[in-house]
Order: sequence, then C-alpha cells, then structure tokens
Amino acid sequence: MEGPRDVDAMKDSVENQVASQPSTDDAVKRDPDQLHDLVVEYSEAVFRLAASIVRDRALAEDVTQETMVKAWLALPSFRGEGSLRGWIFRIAHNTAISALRSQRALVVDPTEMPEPDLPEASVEEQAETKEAFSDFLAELHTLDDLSRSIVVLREIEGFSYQEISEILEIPLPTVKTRLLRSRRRLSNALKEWSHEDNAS
Amino acid sequence: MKIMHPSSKELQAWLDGNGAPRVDKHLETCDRCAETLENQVGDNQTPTVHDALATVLKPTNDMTDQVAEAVRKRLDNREVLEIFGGLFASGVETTKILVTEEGT
Ligand SMILES: [Zn+2]
Repeated sequence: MEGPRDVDAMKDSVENQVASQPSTDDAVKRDPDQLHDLVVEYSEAVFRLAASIVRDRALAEDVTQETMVKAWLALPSFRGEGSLRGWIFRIAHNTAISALRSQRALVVDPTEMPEPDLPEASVEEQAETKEAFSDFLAELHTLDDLSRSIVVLREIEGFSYQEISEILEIPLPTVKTRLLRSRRRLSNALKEWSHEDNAS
Repeated sequence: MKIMHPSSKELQAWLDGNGAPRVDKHLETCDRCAETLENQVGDNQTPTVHDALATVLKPTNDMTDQVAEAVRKRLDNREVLEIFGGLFASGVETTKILVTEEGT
C-alpha cells in the first residue's frame, strides 16, 4: 500500500508541474521522468481497482494504460479540488466501467464471469492459491460492480467513506451499507475455507 | 410523510444477500439505517479480506514497466501526430492563401 508521504510528494511534484503547464496540448511534451513517476506511483493501485471491476487481467492492464494516458493529458486541468489520488481513481473507475460496458456488449452470456488469473507463481503454487481463494473469488464475483469497487477502495486503498462517495459519485449511505455487506460476505467466504482447511 | 425504515430482520436478510429490492433502494440513501447496520455488524477493517483481495488482484511484477513503456509510446505517437497535424494545417492555410491570392 502506498504511504501517505509518497502520495504527498507526488502530489506536490505534479501540482508544481500543473502550475507551470498551462495547456493540454503541451501534456505530451512534459518531463518524461514525471510521467514515469506517475505511472510508478499509481498503476498498481489502478490495476487492482480495474481488475475488480472488469474481472479480466488483460483488460485491466488496458484500463490501467488508458487511465494513465488520460490522467497525464488531463493533468493541466486538475484544479487541486480534492486529492490527486482521488482524481486519478475517478478516471480509472470511469474508464473501467466503459471498458466493462464495451466488453458486455460483446459477451453473449451475461452470466459468464471470467475468473481473474492469479499472480505469477509456479503451477503448484497457483493451484494451491486457486483452491484457497476459490470461495473468496466466487463470492467476490457475486458482488455487484459498485460493491466490488467500494470494497477495493476501502480495504486495499484505504480511502475514507467520503472520498469513496466522491470518487464513485454515489451517496454516503450507499458506500457504508454496501461495504458492510461486502466485507461480511467476503469474510464469511474466507472463514468457510479456513474451517475446511482446519478440518482436513 | 413518515419514512418506513426496514426492520432489523429485513436488514439482516439484506446483509445475507436476500434483501428485498425496496430495502436495497432504501439503503442507498438512508443515513439512519447505515448507522443501524454499522452498529449491528461493526465497522472493522478485516485484515484477512485485505490480504485475500491483495492476492487475487495483484498485478504481474513487470506490469508497471509494461504500462510505462506503452504509455510513453502512445504519447510519443500522439506527439508525432500533433506535429504532422500542425504541418498539415499550415499546408492547408498556405494553399488557402495561394488559392485566394490566385483567385483575386
Ligand atoms: Zn432507513
């Protein structure tokens, strides 16, 4: 998880840059190091949110790329209202939702839910991890898109309820209630697995 | 008009994924019920859920490098297109001037 100090440093760096870059047309010509910093700082977190929404790792990588391009080009228009991190996550969420809609238009069976691949590991490790997390994944897949975004923004990225409400543009009670329900369901799925594991 | 909040039984059913659509809709905007639910189940971050999410949503180790490379390429292409766009636009302007001057 990113430390708040790193995010602040990035924000300062990017905000200084925004102040000295008045036009979107100049966006592509700005300091390549700062573009690299932006990607390094945010791409993993953006990927996690995207993967939770689109449930397809290749598509989530495309969304991450698209988000970074959009954020870099639109950076001069970022007015510093709210956090830069929240602003980037809003772009990521909207980009992921658009990608999901385009993908759904192509998918014949809307109930088909592609299982995300597990991280790089040996075949044996993957099989073990897959088994360990299969209930968890199944439960994660049964949550609606919004609940999955909420739970990732809160549990992994550590955003406040208020920030989540602003990023996803939904009322605060929706954030709270969906989070409580999702957390409970995901937690139960893990408990079931650990009980089975203890029993065996 | 009196607001009808769901009963604790209805809230429990909603938590278990068996909520009526009316309850679902109500909970989108009701602060009071959000607080009731919070008191009912507690608002604690769960390390196990955090760890499991972090595992299943983990990107590959080289994803950041790949994204950085791809973004750089896309922006470079865009820059080239902008330069060509600019040259093309100035060409059109020159042609317009020439045509207009010839025409006059
Ligand atoms: Zn209520």
